[in-house]
Amino acid sequence: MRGKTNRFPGVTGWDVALAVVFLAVAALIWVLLLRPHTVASKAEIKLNGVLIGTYELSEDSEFTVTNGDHANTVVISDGEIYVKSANCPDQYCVKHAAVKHSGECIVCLPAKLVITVTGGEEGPVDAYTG
Amino acid sequence: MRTQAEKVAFCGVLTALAVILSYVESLIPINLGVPGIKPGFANIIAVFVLFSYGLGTAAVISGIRVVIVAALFGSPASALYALSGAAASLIVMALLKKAGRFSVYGTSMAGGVVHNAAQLLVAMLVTGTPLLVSYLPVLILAGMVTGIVIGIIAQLLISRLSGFVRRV
Repeated sequence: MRGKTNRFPGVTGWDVALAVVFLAVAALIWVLLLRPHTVASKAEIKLNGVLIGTYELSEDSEFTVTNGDHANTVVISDGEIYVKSANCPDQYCVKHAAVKHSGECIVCLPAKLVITVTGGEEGPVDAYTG
Repeated sequence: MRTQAEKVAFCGVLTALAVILSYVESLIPINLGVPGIKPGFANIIAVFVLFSYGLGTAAVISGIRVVIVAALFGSPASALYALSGAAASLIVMALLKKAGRFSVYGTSMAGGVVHNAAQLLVAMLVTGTPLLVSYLPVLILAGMVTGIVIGIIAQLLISRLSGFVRRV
């Protein structure tokens, strides 16, 4: 930086190229994962990456999933599923909007809880969920 | 050339500033529906130190900041994410800086993107959910925006404090 007095040294062509690459990658992933918004029929609940239960979205219910000290209260209502309350510090899972479209998910990282909604019309979802 | 003690003292002030910036940020509720999007004000310090003192000093300050913030306001889990994001972004920013072809803005932009991508990768590994990759496009965009803003602020600091940094 020695000798530079300009407060806003110019943006280089390389900066712009890098921005274009990032945008292209974002667009590519977005297009690859683009899927018709089919309404899901089931919710799969995973703890530590292991499937612990599958729930029908057509049946309203409320239950609590515990993992060690972590407890997340999950509600299924009107074909949607959401986390009503959790004792994790960040509360991202509680703030997350209710999900109902196939392939959407809610994650609680501290509790290592993943709620994925699937089923309904067959979509390209299975192609990448493996 | 002044003493090493002066540099240590200045870096201590910067570390404290980074901790405070993390804390202030945690007070601002941001909910865009996608977890993990936040301004990352503390990265202003990381970018400034990287360009003023180099990777080693930046790594030490960021590492101490992450540990202190996790101990005071977070959890071991939050430390894991913060550390992976900070480490990955610092390494990439150091490489871009070394390449010598990118401005502070471009370097910081890449840092923001890599920061988010690394945290998402850790989240995918921890939860065993490859599906989380669907968050990546929006996290890339968010990382670009926050990275550029942070780069602009950091560049102002670098310009205004360059005389001070050279003396210290």
